[in-house]
Amino acid sequence: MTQISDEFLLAYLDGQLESAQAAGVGQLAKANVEISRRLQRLKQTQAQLMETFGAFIRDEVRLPDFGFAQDESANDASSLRASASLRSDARSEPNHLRAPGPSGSNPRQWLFVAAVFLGGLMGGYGATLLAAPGEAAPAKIMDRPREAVASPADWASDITRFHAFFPRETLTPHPDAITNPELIRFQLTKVAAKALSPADFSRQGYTLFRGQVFNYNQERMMQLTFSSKTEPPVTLYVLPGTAGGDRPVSVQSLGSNKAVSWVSDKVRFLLTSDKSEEDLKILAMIAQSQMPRKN
Amino acid sequence: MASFGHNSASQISTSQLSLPKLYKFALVLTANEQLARGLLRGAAGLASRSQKRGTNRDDHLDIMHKMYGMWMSKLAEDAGLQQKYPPEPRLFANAPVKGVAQGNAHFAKFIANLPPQQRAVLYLIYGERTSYDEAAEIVSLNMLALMKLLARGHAALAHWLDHRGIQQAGQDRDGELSPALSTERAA
Repeated sequence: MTQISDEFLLAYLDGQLESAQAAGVGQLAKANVEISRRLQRLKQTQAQLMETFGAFIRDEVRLPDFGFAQDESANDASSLRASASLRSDARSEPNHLRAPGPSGSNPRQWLFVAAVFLGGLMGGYGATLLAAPGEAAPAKIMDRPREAVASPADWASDITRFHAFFPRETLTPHPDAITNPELIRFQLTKVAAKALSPADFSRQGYTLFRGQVFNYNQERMMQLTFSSKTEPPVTLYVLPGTAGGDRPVSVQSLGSNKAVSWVSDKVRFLLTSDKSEEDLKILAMIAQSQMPRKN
Repeated sequence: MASFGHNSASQISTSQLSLPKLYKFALVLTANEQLARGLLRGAAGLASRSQKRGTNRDDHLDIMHKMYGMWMSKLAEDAGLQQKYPPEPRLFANAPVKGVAQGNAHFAKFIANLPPQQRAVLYLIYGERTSYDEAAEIVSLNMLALMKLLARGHAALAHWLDHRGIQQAGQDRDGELSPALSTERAA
């Protein structure tokens, strides 16, 4: 914990850490002079930045004259409503920002532009007549209502399938990967919406070397990868839980990929590796035993 | 030439927008008044077309995200834009420095010369008081990159305070910057 990064200390100062994590950093600062000194230093720059940008945001600013009018009915004095249309006000717009347009140009150019436009329109209409009427495209996942996509019952096999896209060589260290354990813990806590530490498989010869956050069905999902000198890598996925309550360890398999999943204290876990079912179950039990106890 | 997509025929919908805040965000992004005005016009055009997502704050953050995207694509289109319209330290001239009663030219120049992305992130966190999540969404960064950017901003400021800070600011408020300082930018 003493290898704590400035990024993490800043998150602490900016109030972005979960309360248990913040308490941990606070205690560490009391016990460790070096951490305390660094925190003090960051506090100085934080105070300066708050003063600087706080003053900037409080300053009265004169809006450019685009036809905006003060809305007196607005409760928030700083809110404005553009009650008038945004007139084309060439005087207030700098020349370099004006869109190039045919205004004031030769009428022949206008005629040419109109002919091209009509041609395109007719061509497009002809193309729709020739093309077979296709079915309407299904709505994208992000456009569907959350209830329609979130937390499908088969989420575990879904993630196992997803994991199948990762060849083993991609599960090796990369310069851009998140390798700082404190930052991984920070991300994990944000994803799970509760204080959570990565599983510790060091006694089994595994080291946590990477944490990545993915989007899964409008939710955040964290992928933690553990490496070993002799064994195949192990990957643990962590997602916020569903309303269904806790669920014991169950096995999923997709081709040669095996995975075990469980739900514990409103957090979903899926552990996968090129290992036997039994090995995965043992690792799952170890991870479960390291979970903070429920209140 | 450059255009931020302003549609002269567009109208802002009945949704209330905190235009002064959006304008300030444009000023922070561009550090240039002319560019900020253009960016605000573009944002107003976007606002008229956008659908309300939820609360006013959601809309506000969404428009800031779009403004940021417009600015970044404009920078990508025209690499010389910031040479043609250089940062204007006077926009930040009222920024106070601790221990000095009023803002000073050196510090304003320091803020104006920060990279736009870094300045935007610092403004969002310490001016707008957004959360890390919101700021990351606005500037299209992942959380780790945002945290690194913030830490670099703090490091740059700490360096400035150490080497050019309060004493010099008090002694030489209107003085020109030394060549060393003009190259002092955040990593």
